[in-house]
Amino acid sequence: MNGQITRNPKLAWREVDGEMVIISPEDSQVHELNETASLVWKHAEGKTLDELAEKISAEYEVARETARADLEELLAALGEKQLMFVSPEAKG
Amino acid sequence: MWPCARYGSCESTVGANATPKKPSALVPNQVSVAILTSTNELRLSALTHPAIANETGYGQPVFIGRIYGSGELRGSSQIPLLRISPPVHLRKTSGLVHPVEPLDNCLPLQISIGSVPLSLFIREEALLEPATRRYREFAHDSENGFPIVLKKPEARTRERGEFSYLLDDARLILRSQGAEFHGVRHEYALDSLLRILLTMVLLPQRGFLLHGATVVRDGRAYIFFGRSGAGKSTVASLSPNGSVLTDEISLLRYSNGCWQAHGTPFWGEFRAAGQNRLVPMAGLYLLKQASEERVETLDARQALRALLPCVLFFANEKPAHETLLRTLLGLIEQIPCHRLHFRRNAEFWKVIAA
Repeated sequence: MNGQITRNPKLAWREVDGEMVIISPEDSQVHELNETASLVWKHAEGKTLDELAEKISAEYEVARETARADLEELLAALGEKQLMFVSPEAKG
Repeated sequence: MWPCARYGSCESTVGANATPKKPSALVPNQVSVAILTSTNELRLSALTHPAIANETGYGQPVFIGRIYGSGELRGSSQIPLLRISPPVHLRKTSGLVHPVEPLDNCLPLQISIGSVPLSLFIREEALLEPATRRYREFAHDSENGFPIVLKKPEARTRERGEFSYLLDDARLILRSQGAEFHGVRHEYALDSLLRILLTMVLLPQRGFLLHGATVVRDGRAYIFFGRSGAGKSTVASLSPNGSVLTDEISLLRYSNGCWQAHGTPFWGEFRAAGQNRLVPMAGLYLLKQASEERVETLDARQALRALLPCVLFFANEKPAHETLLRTLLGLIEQIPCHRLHFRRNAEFWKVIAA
């Protein structure tokens, strides 16, 4: 899994006090992201999982592999909620 | 430190106690704001264009001009914010977006709700009479209200660039310069469609309807909001005569540099009541029944979480939701939002005043 990460383009969202509030217009469902998920929401757009893990490990005191494993889990959860997707085709 | 990577989501629903949603097709920022008349005259109204409605007010033509054979557009250019491109796009839609034609020989019922002048064209006496009675406090002397034309039920498919909403057998069709209500058979349906219409017209103008009672005290408006059964009508019934602007649906709108609460004709149990005035807002109070009176201040996220399910909202387009989020956050920034624990008696004013 190393495709490009994208936000679901259909969603309306705003950052409120550092955390994301997201509305899915089709069913008016409101999602709130915690600090971690909000960080990923902000910085992941267009990046691959490897690139994002690299950035996270550089900025936070965390091993690259740990960050990657955490991100993988997080993106799976966000994908399940139809909030963010990882495109199937690997980049680079 | 890399925060623990656990997905945290809390889910609620916008306007959960509003009527179930139907597909719609409002396309703000695009040609839905344009009307191309048979003489190739182009009129753009601010109704569905959030970027310019704030500046000009709804329904005011902000551009009147003509399209020439070459696709060239000439006319008044009062709207530098609006990109008109490409002309061919506008021509394509000329068959799709129609103005709303008022009924011949039918004097409109002129009312104004939330400073939105409306002209209701109702031909049926059986509907006109109760409507006149119900909205009497909101009668308004305006030549150019936003036209709402009541028509017979019509089998039709939705056209592009318009918002449509079906409520039981009645249908609202919102066009750039007016609305049609099809198949309205009683005043309840009329009232419901009017609320839906207002949510759409107010949205680009930093206004919205909220499930809440509005009570005026010392010249300022207190909004007590919550879902059905939260205690809105209780709060209203505990307030002095004449101080309640609505006991069911509040209309909040930013105008003249501040947030104001407007009286509405939308009262519980379909009572005809209300006062058509506007009062600067003091605060928002989410009602919660408890064993003691207490006020808890909410932060921006908590306030947003409290407000969203109580907003009357019918659009299902992304731009409309973005506008709603922007509007609510603007409100929260200026007006404090609280959770009010109360015992269904008038003691709550003590903790509010404190």
